Amino acid sequence: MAAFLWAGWWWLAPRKPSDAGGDVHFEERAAAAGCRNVHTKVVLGDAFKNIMPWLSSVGAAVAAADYDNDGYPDLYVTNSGRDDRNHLFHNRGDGTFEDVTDKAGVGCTNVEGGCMHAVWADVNNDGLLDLYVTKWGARNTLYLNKGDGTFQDVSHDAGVDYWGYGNAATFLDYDRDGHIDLLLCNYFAEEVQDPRTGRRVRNDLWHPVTTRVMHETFTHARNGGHKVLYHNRGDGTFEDVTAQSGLNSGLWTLAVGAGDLNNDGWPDLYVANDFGPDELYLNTGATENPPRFRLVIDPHGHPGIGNDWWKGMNVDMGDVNNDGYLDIYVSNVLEKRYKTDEGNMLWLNCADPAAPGGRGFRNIAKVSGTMDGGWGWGCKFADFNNDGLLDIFAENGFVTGDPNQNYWYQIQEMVTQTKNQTMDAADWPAMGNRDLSGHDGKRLFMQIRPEASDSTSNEPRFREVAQRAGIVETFNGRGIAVADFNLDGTLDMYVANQGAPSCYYVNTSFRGKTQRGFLRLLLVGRPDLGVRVGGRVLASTMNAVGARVTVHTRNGIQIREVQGGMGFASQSEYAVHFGIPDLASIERITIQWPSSRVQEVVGSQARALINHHVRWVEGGEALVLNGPGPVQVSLETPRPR
Amino acid sequence: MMRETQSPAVGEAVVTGKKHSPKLWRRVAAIMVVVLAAFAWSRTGILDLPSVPANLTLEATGLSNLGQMKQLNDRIWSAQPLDEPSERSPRLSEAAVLVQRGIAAYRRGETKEAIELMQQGIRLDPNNLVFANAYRMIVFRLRRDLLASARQTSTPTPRVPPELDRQPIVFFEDLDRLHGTRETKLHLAMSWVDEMLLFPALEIKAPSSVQAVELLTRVIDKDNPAYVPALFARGLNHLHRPARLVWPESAKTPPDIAAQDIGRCVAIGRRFNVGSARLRATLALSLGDSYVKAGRVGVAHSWWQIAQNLCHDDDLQAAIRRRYGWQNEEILDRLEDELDRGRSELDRPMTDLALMWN
Repeated sequence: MAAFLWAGWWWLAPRKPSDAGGDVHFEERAAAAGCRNVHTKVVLGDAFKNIMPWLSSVGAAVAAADYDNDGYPDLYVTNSGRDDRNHLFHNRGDGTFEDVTDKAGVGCTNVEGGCMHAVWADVNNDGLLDLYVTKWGARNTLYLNKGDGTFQDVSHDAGVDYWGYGNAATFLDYDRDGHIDLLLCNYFAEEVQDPRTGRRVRNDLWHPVTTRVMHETFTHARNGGHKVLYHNRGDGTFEDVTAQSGLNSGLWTLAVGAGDLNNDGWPDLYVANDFGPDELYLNTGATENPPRFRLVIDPHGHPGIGNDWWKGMNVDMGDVNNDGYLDIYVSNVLEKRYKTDEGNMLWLNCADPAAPGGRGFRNIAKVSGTMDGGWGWGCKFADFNNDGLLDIFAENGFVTGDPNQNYWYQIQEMVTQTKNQTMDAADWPAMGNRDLSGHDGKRLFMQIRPEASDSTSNEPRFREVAQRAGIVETFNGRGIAVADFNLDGTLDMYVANQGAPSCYYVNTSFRGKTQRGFLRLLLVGRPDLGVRVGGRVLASTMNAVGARVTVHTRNGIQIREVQGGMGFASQSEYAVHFGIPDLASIERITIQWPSSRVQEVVGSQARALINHHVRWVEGGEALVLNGPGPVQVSLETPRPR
Repeated sequence: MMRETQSPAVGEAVVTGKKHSPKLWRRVAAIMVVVLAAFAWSRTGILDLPSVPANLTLEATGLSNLGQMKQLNDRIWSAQPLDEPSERSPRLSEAAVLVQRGIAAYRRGETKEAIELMQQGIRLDPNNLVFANAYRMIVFRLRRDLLASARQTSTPTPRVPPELDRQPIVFFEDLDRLHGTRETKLHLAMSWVDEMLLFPALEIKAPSSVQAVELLTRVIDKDNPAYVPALFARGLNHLHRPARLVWPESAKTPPDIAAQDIGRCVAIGRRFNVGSARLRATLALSLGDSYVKAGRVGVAHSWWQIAQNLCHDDDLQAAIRRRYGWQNEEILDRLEDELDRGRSELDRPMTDLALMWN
C-alpha cells in the first residue's frame, strides 16, 4: 500500500525543472593557450582628468573568425592605449594560439586616437575575411585579406575611413544584393562648438577646445555621434547611404545588431544607446527598393523598446524560446544598492496586435531570472550545454577602484541636483580612485528546461551559475566572442576585459562524459547565384550573413542566423552552432539563404550531419569536415521569405 | 449536625461571595479591560498621530470651502457655459468663465485656445486651486496623448506645439514669480510631479521629486505648517522614493518622514472632520503605506483597516485587500510595486487635486 501511495505521489507530484547549469563548466586558459592580452586603456586630454576612469572605460573588443580558412576560429583583440597595438591570434588547432600580428600587419598601433572595436567580413567576396577596425579620434581602418597571411590597408580607397568615435559596427547585407554592407555607429559627436569662435570644429578629445562634450541629459541626449551606413558597391568601394536609409539620429550608440526580427527575410536593426532610448529599425526591403530602415517605438510606452531605460549597452539576438522568432537581449545597468528599477532586458518577440506588423517585444527579464546583470556590457546567447536551449553569458563591471569609495553616490547627487547639466565634463565630481560597479561577478544564465508535464508557462526561465561553472574572474568585461575554438562540439568564449587580462574560457562540460549532440554549420554563400525575385536580383554574400538555419525536430524547432558582428565590442564566429539533445528527433534541416533560395536535408541525411562540423555551400552539397564526406542536399524551389 | 455544619459553610460561602463581590468584579473588569486593550492594540497598534494646535483655523489647513470647490469644479467642467447663468446657477467670476471656456475649447480639440483661455482665467484668480488643477490636468492629458501618439507613429522626439512646450511648469513658474502664494507654489510642485509620472526614469523622477519637495517645504516652512495639500503632496513624494536605494536625498530625511507629513494631514482632517470619505480613506491608506516604509507594519495594518472602514469604493477596497495579502518579509517590495503601478496610472493621475473636493 505504502509503495502504491509513494508511486502515486511520485507520479502526481509537480516536477522540478532540470538542474540547469549543473552540467556546464569552463576553464580559463588564456595564458596557457597563448592568447592572453592585457588591454590598455585610452587616455584622453588632461581637461578630462576628473572623469578619466569613466571616459576610458571602453575599448576592449574581440572578434573571432577563421581568417585563414584552416577551419579553426582565430581571434582579433584590441588595445586602446597610445602606441599600443592590437593582436591577431592565429588558432593553431592544438589548443594554442600564435600571435601573428606583425606578420599580418594588422597591429593598428594607436599613434592617433584609440581602437575600440573590430569586425570581420569578406567585403570583396573573394572567400577571405577582411577586417574593419573602429577607433575614437582617428580614421577607421579596413584591412583587406591578401590570402597569404598578410593584410593591406584599403580604408581610404574603399571610402570607409571615417573619423569619429566608432564604438559599434556590424556587417550586414541590408539590400540583399550579395555585397556585404557596413553599419558604423559613433558614440561622441564628431564635432563640437568652439566656445571662442562659435564655429563647429572637430571634437578632438585629446586636444579639446571645450569640455562640453558629454551627453545633454541622462535620458534623452541627442548630441552623440552619427550612424553611417555604407553600401557596398561591389567594386571594392562603399558609398555613404545614411541619409536615404533613415538612420539619421545622433544618439550615443554603444552596440548594434542586425537580424530578421519579423521574419520577412530582411535584416532589421537594434541599436543600443547610452543616455537615450534604444532604437529598433525594421527593414522595408519587402516593400521598398532600395530598402530603408523604419524606426519602431513600442506603442505601449515606457519601458517598451524605444522608451526603455536609456542605458542600452549591448544587444544580442537569438530565438530563446524556440518559436521561430529572434528575441533580443540588451544589457543595462543594475546596482543593488543604488539602482534597482532597471536591469538587463530580455525582449521576447511575441504577437502584439498594437505593434507594427503584429509583432512586438515584451521584457521578461525579471520573471525569467536574467535581469540582474550588474553594470552590463557584452552579452551573448549560446547553447553552452547543447541541450537545445539558448543560454546567456553576460559581462559586467564599469570602473574598478577602491571598493570603500563609491562614485555611485556622486552620480546620483549629480543626477538629482544638476538637472541636465551633465554636458560639461568639468562640472562632474572628480572620480579619483572611486569604484563604480567594479569587482562584480559575471553572470551565466543557463536556461532551465521545464519538464513536459509543466504547462504553466512557455516562457523561458534561467538560473545563474557562473561561479559554479568556473567563471570566477571579476574584471570589467566588455567584448565577448563565442566560438567552438577547439572544434570539440561545445562553445567556448573569449572575453576582452577593460584594462585587464583577457579570459579564454574553454568549455569542458563534457570532459569524460557522454556528450550531447551538436551541429556546427559554416555557410558559404554564392554571390554569383542571384535569384530574380519581384524585379530585382537577390543574392547571398560569401559569408551568408543573414542566412537562417532551422533545425526541425519532433519536439519543435531551433533557428540560428548568420551574424556579421553583434553587440558591444563583440563578434562571434560565422559558423552557427546547435545543441542537439535528441539525435533521433531530427526531421530536417533547412537553410533560407539571403538570395531567397531554400535548401534542406531531411531524415537520415539530416541526422547524418549531427555531431559534425559541416561546410554548406549555397546551391551545393553539405560537406562534413570531420566525417565521411559530402551529404546530398535537396534543392527546393526558391521562394522569398 | 451535618446540615447545621454544612449550611453555615454554604451560607458563609455565599456571604463571603457577596462580601467580596465588588473586588472580584473589579478584577474581572480589569482583566477584561486589559484583554480588550490588548486585542485593540493588536488590531490597531499605536495610531501615533501628531497633536494639532488648538488655535489652528480651517482656512490655514487649506480644507475650507471644499463644498464650494466641488461645485465650482463641477460647473467649469460642465457643458453649460458659465456666462449664461440659470436660476440655480448664478453667474460666476470672469476667471471661472475663462477656465470653463478653455475646457470647452480643449474638448473641441482647440488646444492653443484652451491653454490661452485657462491661463488667462488662472491669472485673474491665481490662488484658486480648482482652476489651476483643471489647467494642470488638461495639460497632463495633452502631453500624455502627444507621447502616446508619437509612439504610434514611432516618432522619437515628439514635436511639442509651442503652447505645450515646457508646460505646465513654465506657466506656474511665471505665476509664482508674480504672486508667490502657497497655492501657486503647490501647483508648481505638482507640475514637477506630473513630469515624474510622464517620464518614469530615475534620472527624471529624482530631480523632479527634489524640486517638488523643495517647493513644498518652502510652503510649509513659511507660515503654513498645517497646509494639508502641501503636506500630503510632500508626504507622497517621500513615500514614493525607493526605500532600498542609497540616494543622497533620502539620506537627508528620516525614514518616517512620509508618515510624519501624512500623519499630520490625517490628524488635521480628524480635528475638523472635513473631506469626503474617499479623501479620508486615501489619506489613511497612504499613512499605512508610509508606516511600511518606516518599518512599522503593525501600525500600517491599523491604518489600512481604518481606510477599509472609511470608504467602500471598489478600487479602494481592492487596494486594501491586496495589502492584507502581503507577507511581512515581502511587504516592502510589494508596496513599491503597488506604488509603481499607481504612478503609471495615467488616465487617473495621482496628482489630480480633485480628490480633495470630490
